[in-house]
Amino acid sequence: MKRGGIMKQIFKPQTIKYIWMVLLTALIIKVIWFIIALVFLPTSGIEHIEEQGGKPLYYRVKLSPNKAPPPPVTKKKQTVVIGGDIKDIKLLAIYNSSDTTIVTVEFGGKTRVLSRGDKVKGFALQSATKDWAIFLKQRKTYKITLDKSKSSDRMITTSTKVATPKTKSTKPEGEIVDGGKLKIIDKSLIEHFASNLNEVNKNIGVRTIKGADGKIGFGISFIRRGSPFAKLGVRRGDIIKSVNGKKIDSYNAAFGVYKNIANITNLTMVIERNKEEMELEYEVN
Amino acid sequence: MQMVKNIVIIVVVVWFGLVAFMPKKALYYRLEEELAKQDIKLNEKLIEESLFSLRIEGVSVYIKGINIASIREINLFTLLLYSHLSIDEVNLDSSLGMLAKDIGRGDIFHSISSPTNLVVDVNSSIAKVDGLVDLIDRKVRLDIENSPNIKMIRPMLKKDEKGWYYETNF
Repeated sequence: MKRGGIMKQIFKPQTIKYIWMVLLTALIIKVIWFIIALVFLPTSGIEHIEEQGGKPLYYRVKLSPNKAPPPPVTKKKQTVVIGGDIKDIKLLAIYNSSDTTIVTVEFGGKTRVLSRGDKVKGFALQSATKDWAIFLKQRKTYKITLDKSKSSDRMITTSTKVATPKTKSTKPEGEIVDGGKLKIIDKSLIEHFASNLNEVNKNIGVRTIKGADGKIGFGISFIRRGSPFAKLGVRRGDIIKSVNGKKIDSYNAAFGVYKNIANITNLTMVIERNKEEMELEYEVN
Repeated sequence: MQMVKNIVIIVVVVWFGLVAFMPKKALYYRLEEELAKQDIKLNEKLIEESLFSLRIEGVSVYIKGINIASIREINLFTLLLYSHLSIDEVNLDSSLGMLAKDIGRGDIFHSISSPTNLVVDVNSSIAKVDGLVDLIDRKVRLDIENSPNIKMIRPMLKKDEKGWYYETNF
């Protein structure tokens, strides 16, 4: 009897009218939203595609099974030979400051102290970092790594400390060595600046230049004297055109290179100086 | 009486229909389009639409193509008369060299009781921020609690009797 009463209540013409009214209103709203979505709203979002910044133009590959003689062109080029060719010379200690470079070397059982420009067996000392020294002979550059087994108890530790006094923990370590056409940058230096944008801004100023086509360029506005950036070969007024073949004509491109700089081993930068383009080459070691 | 009852039912159904059937995902895409005009792009891993809310997970924020920040989750809950947008775990990109990388959590509220204003509440590692967005005057005022961490953003701030604040127009 009671159940019959409920059923009667549900199927009351008034209730059915309400249900129809609710369903119809909901349907109308749904249709309105559907039309709005179809006509005015997009069906997919906008995705930013991350560009791969600063990809190396080339990789150094050692093809040891190839017994063919090296092409004559490589002889003309300045190359960095690690140890090998001057292996009789052992690097025992390095004293390096901004204006002085002194190294201690051993050859033929004798020890010699060399300053920048001094020669041993015809190899002239050119520059040094805390871990290695660069020598020049017949327009070729040679790199000798510090013999740490022999130098551990020598003056190297003290001399390094004197050369680079620790004023702040944020001071970057590592050097940029001018190896002629190719500049060798210490990896620790790159890693330091890659994670400290403020440090970069303190040492080098980059201003944006807007072109007529709406594209932007990046010019060097200042370089702090004595900073590692001063040894990169760039000058105030230079405009960075491309890095590793990638045009630097947007914030995205510039920041892409900066973000990937720690993963780069070879870097070729094209700059515009006095309306002439020139290429700068770097190796990260 | 019957008329009032009908109107109430219609209003409730319209309100429910508007909120529940709202194409939230498409509206979010529209917002993305508008932001893209200002060179701001949002990349997200997941967009989830439900009856009263829209949840977006793993958002990367790009300004002029530069990845400025990442957000773990954005949640919009709306009943039209009251809306709440929560932004969880905002992390600034480490390459920006900012002191504070973890900004924390932000909440934006809109209520029918004050339809022309948005209330902003941010709990960040830099400072606690309370603010108001005036939608009519297109003005933003954010009151920033004094803390040693605001040192790096202080050049952008102004000071009055209430303390440090940030003000801008849009």
